[in-house]
Amino acid sequence: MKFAMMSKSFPLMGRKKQRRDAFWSLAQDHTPFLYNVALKYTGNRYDAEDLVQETLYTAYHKFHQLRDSRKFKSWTFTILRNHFLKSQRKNSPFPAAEFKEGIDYLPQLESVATQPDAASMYDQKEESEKVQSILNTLPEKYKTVLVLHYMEDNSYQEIAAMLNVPIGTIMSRLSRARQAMKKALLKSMRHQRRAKKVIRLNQMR
Amino acid sequence: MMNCQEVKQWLGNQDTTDERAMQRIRNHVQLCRACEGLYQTDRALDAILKEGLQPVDPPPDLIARARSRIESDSRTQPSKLLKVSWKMVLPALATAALVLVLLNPFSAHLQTVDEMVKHSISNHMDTGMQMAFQAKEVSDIGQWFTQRLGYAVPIPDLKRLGLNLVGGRECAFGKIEAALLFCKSKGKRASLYMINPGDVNVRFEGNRKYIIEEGDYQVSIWKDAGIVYAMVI
Repeated sequence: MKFAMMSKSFPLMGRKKQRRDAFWSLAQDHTPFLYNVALKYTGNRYDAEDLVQETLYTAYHKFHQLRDSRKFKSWTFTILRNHFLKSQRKNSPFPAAEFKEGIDYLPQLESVATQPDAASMYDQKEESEKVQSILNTLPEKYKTVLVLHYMEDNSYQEIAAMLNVPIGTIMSRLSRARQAMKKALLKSMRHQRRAKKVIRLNQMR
Repeated sequence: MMNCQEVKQWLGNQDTTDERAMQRIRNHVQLCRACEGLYQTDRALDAILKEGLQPVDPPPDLIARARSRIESDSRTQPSKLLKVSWKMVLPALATAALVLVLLNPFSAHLQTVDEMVKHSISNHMDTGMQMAFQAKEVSDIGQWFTQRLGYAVPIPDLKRLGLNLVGGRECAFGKIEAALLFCKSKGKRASLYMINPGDVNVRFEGNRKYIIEEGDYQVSIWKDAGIVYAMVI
């Protein structure tokens, strides 16, 4: 009787271990993706690491619900996104500023492109460092499509499938997000050009 | 052949999946200087966007830390799993320690005022940053930061600085860690950083205070009571 019970319990333990190993193997493969999405969402590595850990925690405990391991990436992405939205609602120190959509991008582009020294206005490396700061000001729905498209090279169809929204919605969100980012980049370039740093040295008291 | 209006329309929508439309645009801009300028500038902005969104490597021990935390939380047979867990975690910790010793990322000091301004504004602009505590949730804020950052963090008289406290957290300030208070000043957002003077190589003799205007922001940097402050309004 005792022997029969033991022989039943061993395969069970084996399956549990197998499942755990499968989880960590998948997690290992997809952690770079999750970390980078978290980094783009939160804008700093501390919150990004916390977000990834929270995501893996939830995924680990719900792993038995995942029927197809090929969907691990999109499944964990959804968990991460939900955690991020939840924490944003709970802990944001200031209500999100009203998002100005990029509808007037074209006039700004025209005003820059028609200048004789347009090409010298931007240094790609320097400007690309500003992308995260600008991204931080965007609502989550625009951040998400930008990250999935530019960082992951996902097609409209793939993004639509991941977010479970119609492809037309993805196209219009991406278009708005792209224009808002470019508009902000143009503004920042013009600002930097004009900016004259004023350093005043004062006595403290 | 596309005309100028259609090129501008495309720049407004930017469907890069339509390869035929893209080819027609390329054909048009070869012959039209005005549209070529628009197209090239837009493509340069797109390249900046792509470059700025490139992935980076996660911390090497991130997965090991997550695994350690999750499995220790879920542990049902402590003695057996503890052995397994430590076997996995120890090499990861040793590797992480080695990486830390070799790269020594925390040794990087803030060398210039410009560097401090850059980090102050970059954090200030990050509206997605979460608070670790809200005003009135923590009775001794200086102590709260001191426990987490490992150096004394005296909180200045916020009223004297014209600030109303909203909340606070630790934050990355370049390669070092700093205390950050989210505040309001005359209805505007303000950020006040408190930085370990040992991490700053800027000179502050004679109670020198730096006031720098950068774009829409004003950054003040000074040292008082053994701590370096940076305030962005």
